[in-house]
Parts: sequence; C-alpha cells; structure tokens
Amino acid sequence: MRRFINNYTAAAVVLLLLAGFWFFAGSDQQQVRQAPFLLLTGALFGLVLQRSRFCFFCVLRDLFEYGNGKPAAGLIVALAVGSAGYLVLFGNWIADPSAGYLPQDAHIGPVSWHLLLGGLLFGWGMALSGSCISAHLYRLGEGYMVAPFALAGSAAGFVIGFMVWNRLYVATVSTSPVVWLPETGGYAVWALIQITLLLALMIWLLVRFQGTSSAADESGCDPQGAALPGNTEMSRNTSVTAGVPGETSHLRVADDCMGPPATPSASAGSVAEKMTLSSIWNRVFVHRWPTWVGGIAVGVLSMIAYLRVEPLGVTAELGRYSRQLGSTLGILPDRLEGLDGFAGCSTAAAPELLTGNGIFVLALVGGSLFSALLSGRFQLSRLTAMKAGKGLAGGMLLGFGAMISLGCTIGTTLSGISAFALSGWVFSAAMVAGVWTGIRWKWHH
Amino acid sequence: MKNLSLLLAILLIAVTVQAGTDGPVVSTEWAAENLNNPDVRFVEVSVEPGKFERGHIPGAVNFRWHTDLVDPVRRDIASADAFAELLSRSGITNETTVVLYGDHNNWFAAWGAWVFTIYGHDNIKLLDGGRNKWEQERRPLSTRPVSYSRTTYEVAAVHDHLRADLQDVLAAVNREQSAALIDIRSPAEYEGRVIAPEGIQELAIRAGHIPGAVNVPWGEIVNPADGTFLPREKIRQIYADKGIDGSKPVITYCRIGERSSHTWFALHYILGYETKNYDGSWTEYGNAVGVPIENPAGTVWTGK
Repeated sequence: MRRFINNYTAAAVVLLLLAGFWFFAGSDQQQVRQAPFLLLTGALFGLVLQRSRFCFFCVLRDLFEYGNGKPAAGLIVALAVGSAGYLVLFGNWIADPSAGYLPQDAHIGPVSWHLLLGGLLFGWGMALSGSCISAHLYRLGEGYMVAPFALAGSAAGFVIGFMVWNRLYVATVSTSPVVWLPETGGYAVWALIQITLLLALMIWLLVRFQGTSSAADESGCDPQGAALPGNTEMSRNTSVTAGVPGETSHLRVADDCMGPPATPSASAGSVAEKMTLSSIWNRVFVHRWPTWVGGIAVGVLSMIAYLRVEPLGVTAELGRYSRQLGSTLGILPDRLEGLDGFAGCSTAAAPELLTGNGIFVLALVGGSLFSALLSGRFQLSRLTAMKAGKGLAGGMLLGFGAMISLGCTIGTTLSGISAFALSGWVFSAAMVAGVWTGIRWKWHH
Repeated sequence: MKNLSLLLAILLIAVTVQAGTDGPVVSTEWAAENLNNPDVRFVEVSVEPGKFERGHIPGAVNFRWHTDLVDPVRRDIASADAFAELLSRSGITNETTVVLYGDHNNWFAAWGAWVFTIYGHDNIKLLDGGRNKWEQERRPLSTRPVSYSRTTYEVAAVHDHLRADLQDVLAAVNREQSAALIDIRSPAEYEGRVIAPEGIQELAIRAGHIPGAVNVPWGEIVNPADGTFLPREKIRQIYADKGIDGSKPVITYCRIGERSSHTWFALHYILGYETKNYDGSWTEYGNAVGVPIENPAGTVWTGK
C-alpha cells in the first residue's frame, strides 16, 4: 500500500513539474504560441506510447518471434489514421496537388539507396538496442536503464552521419527525386491506394499471424518483477492483458518490452465485471491499452501536430545538439550540403536552448514517466555491461540511420507515410527488413 | 439632435475609413473592418514557410516569396506574365485594393509591395505592424482556404525606375548620377565587422558597404513594441538627420534586397521621395569585381 501511495505521489510530482515547465515554456515571447501546445501534445504522446506499448521493435518482435500480428496491426492503424488526417489538411492547404510545390514542411524526403541503408541500419540498431528512438524515450520514463546508453549512442551516430553526409549528398542525395505521391495522380487515387494497402496489411497481419499460445517465459527476457505488492500472480506471467478486462489475450509478447507487468487487479478478467470508478481508472491508467487504441491516438496526434506546429518527430533536437557538439569538437564540416533545405527532422542551428522539438521530447518522457508511475510500471531495470554496450552500439546505428534518413520511425515512417511520401515507405521497408534479420540473428538476446 | 449625432457618427466612420484607405498603410482595426470588403484583398507574404497554412487573416491569400514573387531560376523578380497569372489566380483585378502583410515586420510583404508597384499596381497598402501585431491583438486567424473567381489581370505598366541595378549604383558612387545611398543593415554589417548577420551564411566575398552610403538600420523607423511605422514627421526627421531629405533620388539596399524593401516602402509611399530599391544589394555589390567599397573594420574574407 505504501508503495502504491508513493507511486501516486510521484506521479503527482511529475504532473506538477510538467505544469511548471508549461508555465515557463509559455513565458518566452517567441514561443508563446507554441510551447504550451507542444508540451501538452508531447506529454500526451508519451502517455499514449507508454499506455499502449507503442514500441516499433517490441511490436515487430511479437510478429517475427511469436507470430503475433495483433500489435503490428495496431501500428498500421496509426499510419492509416495519420494518412486520413493528413489528407484532410492537404486538401485544405493545396487544392491541387499537381500545383508544383510540396505541402509545407511535410516530411517528404529524397528517395535513393541512402534510405535503404539508413532504414536497414536503423532496424539493426533497434534489434541491438532493444527499441527505436521514440520507444527509448518513452521507456526512459519507465526506468529502462538501457535507454540513456542508446540515446547517447544515437547522438554519436548522428555525429558520424553528419561526418559522411556531404559525400552521401554529392554521391546520391543531390540528384535523387523528392516524391510526393499525390503529385502525380491526385489525392483520390493515392488515398484509395494507400489506405486500401494499409487496411489489407492490417487484415493480413491479424488473420495470418494469430500467435502461439502462452507458454512459460523462455525468451531470456527480463521481466522486471512486480512493482506493486499484491500482484504476484502476474509477476512472471507472460500473457498480456489487452487493456480491457475480459479481453485478456494469451498471446505471447516480448515481455522485456513490457516494463514491469504490474497491475493491482490484473486478474479482473471477467466479462461481467461491474463498472465502477476504480475499474474505469484501472482500464485507463493501469492496464495497457491495446496497440490499436494507441495507434488511433498516435494517428490523431500526428495530424494535430502537423496542423498546429510541425509533423511529429523526435530526433530533431537530439540531432541539433549532436551537430553542435560535432561542430564544437571540430570534426564536422562547416557546411552540410543541402541538409537544411530538406523537409524532415531539421537539425539546423537555433539560438534557443530548447527548440519546440526539445520541449516536445522532454514532455514525452515526462508524460511516459507520469503514466508509468500511475500504473506502477516504473522501475529501474537491471543493467549489465553487455546491455549497456549493446545499447550504445545499437544507439549509434539508430542515430546514423535516422540522420541520413532525415528522421526515425516517427519522423520518417509515421510522419512520412502519413504525408504520402515515397521516402517514408522506402525507409520503413528497409527498417522492417533490418529488424527481421536482427531478430533472426538473435541480436536482441 | 438624435439625427445630428447619427449624422456625426456616420461622418466620423466615413472619415476613419477614408483615412484608412488614403494612406499607404492601414491599421489592424481598419483591416478587421474590411475583411469582407469585396474590393479589398489581403495577401500574406511571410518569410517563414508554413505560417500561412497554420493560421492567417481570414480571407487572405498566400504569396510564396521564393516561388511566386521571384523568378525561380534567374535572380530576378517574377516576370510580368507570372505576376499577372498569380494575381488572376488570386481573383485580383487591376482595381482591387491589395493589403499586404507578413511576418518579421512585413519584410517580404514590403518586397511584395515593391513588386506590385513595379508592375503598376499602385493601389496597395501595408498592414501596419504586420502579422505580429495582428496576433498580439488576439485577432482571429483562419485556416480555411478561400478561393476567388479567376480574373484576367493585365500588367498595366512596368516601372523599372523603381529598381536600381549595379550600373545605377556605380553611377551614384562615381558621382555620374546624383543619388543618396541608404544601407539599412546592422551597423556591424555596414562597418564590415561581419559579412552577414548571425545565423545567415556569408554570401559576399567582401565586407563593408557601398562608398557614400549612410547607415539607417530598417528598424529605426518602426515602434519596437508593435512594429508599426513611426509618425511620418519622425521618419522624415530620422532620414533628414542623415542627410536624406528627398532633394535627390535615393537608393536603398541591404543584403538581398528584402529588408531594404521595408525602407523603400517608407521613403516611396510615406515620404514620397523618389526611391529605387537595389535588390542585388550587398550579395551582388560585395561580390562584384573592381568596384570600390568602404570597409572601416578592415575585415578580410577567410583570413586576417
């Protein structure tokens, strides 16, 4: 019980910190319009990611390792909802997509083999470090100790990416096309093609990959033990409560991605459960949400962010600081050819200590921490030298891949595919291939 | 008595509206009252792409300075044909009152005003204080697109004399032509301590300014609080103190000709001086071979 109260107190403290941050972020003249909004969406994004375990690697691992396609279908939901949302905005901003210019700052990048390389390395980085960049950020809020190493590695990966960028630019990027699909064919055709494709993919995942039955955990994952007293019956159980009591699915999932499987009333699985204040609370703040619920929320947030500020992305600030660091160390060229002219997670120098993306990312971690504390899923994970080393090495691949691809699974996959950018598809295909091979070679163990 | 006060009120409104449309700048109040005026078209020209899309003055159309108002290939302003097409597409006729506004203190809105004037469309206004003031006053923004019926706009005249080229500037420097030069950049750029403002790439090989130019940074003629122009008399005084009194033609320049459009607007429209904008500006002059420059700070490009 004491532990329980501690969690609530801690969660309240996080909420207060976020509120205070909101206040200060909003007091700066320049950012007065955007900071509170970024803070709110960032915190919500972190909450959604944490609640629905919206981790690209975990979800792909469920698919490739356990044949469970349900979580992956949830990712596709995010892409489909995001695409629909972007279409609404595009139609409003550019009546005729063949007008000859691209929708303002949508993440539509140049397409060539550099995206295949970036995606593949990024996928490998996910397998090695255990997550992609956005998931490392939200899992940081769960106390996942590999995350700081992976993020530090990403910063180094960014610097390496900047070091080779000019050569890459001259070799291929400068002459590669920036393809916005609706530009040829129009909105209707591409809306039909892309959304049909996504729905088909989703149905295929659901039908074809129904998963193996729950079995004892032998994957070498590290369930981090109960964070709350009174849930011992769940502490080593690998089944996942799909969020809604009564819909408990017994599909295998990669439980080291789950954080501590702590739920005070996880056994509540009866369909006839009475709706009480505490059962509603548990459904929202204690049980995980199914990935598709998170997918809908992520898709909606993606559209809202694009409407009000800029497309969702989590690497811009990380990249900006890495670039500053590299420049200070004198290992980066004075000029990165053409880089700041592309739409994507921009790393251009800015006078502020914290740009909008920095506020967003910090709020993301705060939102996830808040959510993890409330659900009793915050616990510092065990760290070994091996894990730290893999986190660092995997992080470098993540950073390098995200740098040359102008974004990660959020900036390029989510915001790119939602924007009907060919670059989003190419990067994502390579990224999935990277994760698949990484898992086959058991890099994650 | 009642009738009299009504009459007075009508007169007052008439006078206010008249005052609003007479001058070269219009207030945000006037703009708010004329949002639905079919003879008025609001045009946003912002430096930062993406601003318009996320909220603009209701009914406004968006002109992208880097594709709509300049030639996309040559370093030049948009061609007369492209300009006419742009205006036709935006439902603007030769009689429409165009109110330009934008971010960053109307820099590119003023550039737009200059291009409009070159192509003979004098019936333009600048929204005093621009986008910032409109937002500061918490006035409504809209994201809903408005499409206007297409018109057939024809460029009536091309007033090339509002534009200075390198030859005009050199003629002034060599005193073959009588003209006063105003450098509107920061003192650090003017004195040659830096080649470009902070955060902007150095695009000139030499530091300093055009010989004989006086330095009046563009911001000196606006209220720092809301970016509106100072009263006409004050603006006149500021330039008079630097020896610019309209007795001879003026040439304004900056780095790329954008901020100097703001000063050009004040000199041409508010003070009525004969003024050319040198859009080649320092990125042309500071790179030109064999031209005299003044470089008080003595900064040498890429070396000490």
